[in-house]
Amino acid sequence: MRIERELMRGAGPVAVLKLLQAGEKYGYELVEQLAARSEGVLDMGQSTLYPMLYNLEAKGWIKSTWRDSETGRKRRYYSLTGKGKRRLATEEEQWRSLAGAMGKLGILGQKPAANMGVTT
Amino acid sequence: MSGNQSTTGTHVGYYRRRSPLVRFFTGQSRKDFERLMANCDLPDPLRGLVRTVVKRCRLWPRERHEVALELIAHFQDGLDAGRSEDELIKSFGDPEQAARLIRRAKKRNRPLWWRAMRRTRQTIGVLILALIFLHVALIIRFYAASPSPEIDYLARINAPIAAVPEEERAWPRYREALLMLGVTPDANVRELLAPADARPGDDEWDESRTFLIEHQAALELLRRAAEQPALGLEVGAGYAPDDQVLWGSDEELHVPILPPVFHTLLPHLVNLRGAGRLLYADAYRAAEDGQSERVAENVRAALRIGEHAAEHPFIVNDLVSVAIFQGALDVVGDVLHDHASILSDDDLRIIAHSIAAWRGGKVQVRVDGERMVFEDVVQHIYSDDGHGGGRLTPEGLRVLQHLDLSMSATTDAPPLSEVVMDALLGPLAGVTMADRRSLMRTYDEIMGAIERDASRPMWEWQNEADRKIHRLVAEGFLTKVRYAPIWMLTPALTNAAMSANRTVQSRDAILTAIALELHRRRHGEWPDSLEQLVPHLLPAVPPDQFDGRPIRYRVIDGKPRLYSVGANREDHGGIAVLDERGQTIRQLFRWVPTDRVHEVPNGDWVLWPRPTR
Repeated sequence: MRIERELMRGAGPVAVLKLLQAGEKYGYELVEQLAARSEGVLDMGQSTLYPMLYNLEAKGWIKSTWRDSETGRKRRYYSLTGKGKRRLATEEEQWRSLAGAMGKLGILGQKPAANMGVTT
Repeated sequence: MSGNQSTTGTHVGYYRRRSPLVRFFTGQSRKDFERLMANCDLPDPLRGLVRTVVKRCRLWPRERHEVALELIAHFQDGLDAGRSEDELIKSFGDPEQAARLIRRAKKRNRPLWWRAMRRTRQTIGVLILALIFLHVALIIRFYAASPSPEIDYLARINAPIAAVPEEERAWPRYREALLMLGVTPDANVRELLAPADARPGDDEWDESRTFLIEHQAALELLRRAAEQPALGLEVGAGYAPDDQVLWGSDEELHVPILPPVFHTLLPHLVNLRGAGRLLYADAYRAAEDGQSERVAENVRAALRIGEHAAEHPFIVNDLVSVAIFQGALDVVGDVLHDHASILSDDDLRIIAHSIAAWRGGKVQVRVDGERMVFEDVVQHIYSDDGHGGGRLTPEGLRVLQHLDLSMSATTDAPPLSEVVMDALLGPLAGVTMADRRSLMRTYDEIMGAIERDASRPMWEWQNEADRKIHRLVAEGFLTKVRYAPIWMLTPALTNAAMSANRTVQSRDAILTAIALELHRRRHGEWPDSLEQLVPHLLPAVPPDQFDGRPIRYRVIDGKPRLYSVGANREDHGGIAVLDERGQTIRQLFRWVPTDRVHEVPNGDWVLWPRPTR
């Protein structure tokens, strides 16, 4: 399912930070994991991913280093900074609150709150 | 081709070992990029995509190289993962968008100094654009305004003169007399009438006597002219054809850009002043020759010429008028001292009456004419919104620029440099200078102060007007520019008023001297005090203009002396202090505030007899 650009703009960076929480990754690896682990929902083109990575780097949430890959090719690996970790924690908190609120409204398929007056 | 960095030397660290400037000027950056693209292990479509994106990023060479490396690595990883070229190209997305987003993001990663400079450039650019926009708006506003003068002040000044019947006008007779005396456009009038300045006892006196006797016909014409009720000379920015025989052509004097009243020509004042001087000289001659009637005639004629000089309301008219009056007073005082016996009691009374009644008893400098000049200038330089408001116009700016009466001020098209300067500075002048209402309000305040100062006797002066003008000029450059027309156009009216007050003092002294002489003739001796002259010979003892107390009177060596305490406000017993010309030093009769009296030398301003005599 294609996600609206505005939603992707909010979700994409958080997703990338979350993936990097597990360890450093290179660009193509992030593309594959975003697609695979979100079941295609966060399948963003590289024309979007790389600018996003550069933006996150400008904000100081991630950092990059060039290293040799196992094939001897140079790759740029990205990892979370301390600031990025704190940011991720904040984003996760916000997303949990948002998801909770949406769930109470029935948007996430859960039973809505009792005072909504909505009959199922 | 291999992506082996050893053949390309293209890893990021390579850049750190080379100066960007060197790389730029040697084209090394471009070569490195081409080498990178040529040697990267990608199929042509993917290589082309990388090249397209990187080129369109328009980044610094090092940044471009990094992006290229990263995209090359990305696609190589994709190919290694078993993806096809088409799949990779499709999943990449729009290259244009990618380039735009990558450029934006990469710029965020640039060093702080670059980002600060960029922000500064943007801010400056915005400010410059705002200033340009503002200036364009101001230019439009400035050039949209134009003056619309409604009042013909010159016509107002000339209207009562035009109503004088021709046979009652003195000016044609004055002109005839001046022509008889040899006044022409090319003549040096000062030299021509030099005999008028000699006095009995001077080396040139005999020559003067001869001149005066030879030109009695012209002098008689002057006396007849002075009897006319009005001068009858309409003024303007040019000469009447009949007057060009005296003053020549007025072509070179035309300054069309200047408002008409400001540009009014008054050359006749020089001639009237000269006529007065001739009559004084002839009065001295007549006194020497025992011709009392001629003395009285010349004095009365000089007084009338002084009144004629005041026909127009300008300050220069009043200054010349008062100067002519002062000259007549000097003559009367000198004749009274040196040749009193030739004047009968009736002569003295007639002379006293003429002096007392001169210009209705008011020796003054009017401000009406100056107001007209200013209002005329304002209506020619400001627009008019119909409610007293308005703003400076382009025509007005040019007028202000030419108020020094440059002869180059014409209505011809101004040079390009002037047009450019007007366009640049005019709008700024338009918003900086006071609007019409504010300007007139401030001007009225100053003129009101001048009128109040002038209406007070000198011993009550507060010099309010000068302080107002001084504050205006001293408040700072912007205030000075804001009210430029005021300080450019307001003459030293306080000095003029001071001059008039001094002449009032002289007049009062001469009238008192006449009363003293009449008393002496009646009683055989000088009075002990001036109060003895009141009320039969004087309505009241006149005041000393410097302290308001009665004018001082003493009999020294059997001779009367009238004097003022002068600017130092101290009575020194009538001791005169003279300059190298034998005249009372100016500091003694120039008013100063009370906190500066210590600067005035000791001594008194002797009014009669004049110390030079």
